[in-house]
Amino acid sequence: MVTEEEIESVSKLVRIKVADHREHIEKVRDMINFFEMLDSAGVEDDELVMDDVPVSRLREDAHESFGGLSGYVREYRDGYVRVPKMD
Amino acid sequence: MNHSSIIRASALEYVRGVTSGEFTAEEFLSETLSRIEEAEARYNAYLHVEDSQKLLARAREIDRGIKSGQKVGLLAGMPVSIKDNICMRGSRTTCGSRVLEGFVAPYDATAVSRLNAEGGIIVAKANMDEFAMGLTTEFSAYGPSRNPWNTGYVPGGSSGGSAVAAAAFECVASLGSDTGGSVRNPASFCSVVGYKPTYGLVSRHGLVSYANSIEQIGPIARTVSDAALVLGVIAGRDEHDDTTADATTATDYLEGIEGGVEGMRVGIVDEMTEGADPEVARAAERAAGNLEAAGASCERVSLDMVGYSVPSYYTITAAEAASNLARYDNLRYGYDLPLDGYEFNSYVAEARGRFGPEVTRRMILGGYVSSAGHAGRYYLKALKVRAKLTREVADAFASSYDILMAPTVPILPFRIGEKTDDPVSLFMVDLNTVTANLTRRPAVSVPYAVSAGGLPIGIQMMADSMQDRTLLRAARALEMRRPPLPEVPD
Repeated sequence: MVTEEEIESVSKLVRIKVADHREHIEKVRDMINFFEMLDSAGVEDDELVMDDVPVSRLREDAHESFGGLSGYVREYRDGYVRVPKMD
Repeated sequence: MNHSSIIRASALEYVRGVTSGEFTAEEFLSETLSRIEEAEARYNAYLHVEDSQKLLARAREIDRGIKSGQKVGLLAGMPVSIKDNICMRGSRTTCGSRVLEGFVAPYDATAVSRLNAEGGIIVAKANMDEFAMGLTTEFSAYGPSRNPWNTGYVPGGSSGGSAVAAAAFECVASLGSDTGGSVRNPASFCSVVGYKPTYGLVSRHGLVSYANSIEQIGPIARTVSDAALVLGVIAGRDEHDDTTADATTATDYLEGIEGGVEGMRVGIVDEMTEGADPEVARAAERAAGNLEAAGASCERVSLDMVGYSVPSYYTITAAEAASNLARYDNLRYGYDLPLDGYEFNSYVAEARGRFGPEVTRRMILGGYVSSAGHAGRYYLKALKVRAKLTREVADAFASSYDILMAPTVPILPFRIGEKTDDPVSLFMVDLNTVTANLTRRPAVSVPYAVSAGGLPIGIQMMADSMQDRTLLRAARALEMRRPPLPEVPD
């Protein structure tokens, strides 16, 4: 059973401010309880299947200028994006 | 032609009418803009309507091209709209969120470039659930869209604005995005056609990401042929999206669409029809009868893993959404929140405080189900369910069926506010649509009937990967054979 403390902890990890976790806890708990239905799907022993994409199919990893994008940046000074200080 | 009625033309009728001189692109657009102005107070289909003078100037340009015999593209000045999570250069793109309030897209999505190249005139950005997380349009930060069949009812979602706009003649066709049924669900609730292409058929470049491994842009229109026309315009390989299919894919999806269903094998999926609203279930039975009368063979089929598709879908999409939405730090773009007085992490958290409640919950969920302590129980298990479901569906198509069919939504449209407090009950509305997304198959919702209470019922058909033409042919056959539908109330 997911707890209010776990929800608070995950909120911090995903860096999202939630004024009152109690507003969400019941619904998030209902959702997670619903996901537990996956336990009865009988897939525990199945292999994970991933799509392999050959590197040759990917486009060249080269810079492509969109032109003028910096004009859209909110706080742009001398070629840098201005951000708050980190502790 | 009566100008108040020309906007009811289908896309094919529009193209015939404008290229034959029956009406001009400017006349049609002008009537469409009048319709938008009159209808929006009731429906709230659009978040932003483009500048009318610029639109009319573009229509006059098309008219001059038609008169002088120049190529004006397959759409020939047709008014279309796009969901507000599809970028259009110089136009606001909010994704129905306060987090992107005032954001102006710096480039065109590939689908937008292709609409423009074929003479489409994009008139408006359509309302949607915030970041496409929802299936009623009630989670838009700018208020819900309303169902034109009854404005007290939801229009479906998350591409609800697009479906309302097409149903209420505020455009000829619209683009939505379909992650778990977000094109087909509102199409069903508003009695229009909603088409989710095979994953990789349409470029996602410029579609604001929600769940990359699943979502596709798809057309919403008033007829199957109209959806096919628009699909042909937007489909195809794109170097900006490496998940798009190779260029050998057919581009004319109208070709062969009238071919009928003689000899087609149709499976009616048990898990998608049992438990459906009785009126909806009866509609599905009648639809099967219509296809049999047209020469198809229909039988019931069971797909065990469909029962686990909804928790698998919501687990995977929550994990992908939490990752995708982590880009919203409000630093390079976003709304006007001053930087001063904040430490970096507290600034980002403060900025994300503008996410609405559903997006907030999905981010928390995504962080939880993919975290080190819980991923094995939720996310990895959901991926295994997805793989098993994909095998089941692939086997059904390989061995027995051309088409899998079911009601698009197992229940009738419901009242605005009726389910917002019950997320799991809302999840189950997606039961019949998420399988196509998880397995990357194409699927379409065809308007089929209207309930005794005046609410639309749609039928969903699904085909194997890259069998989009077969699917459109079957959908067209059902459209031809269904009982006559009443006009949308006005």
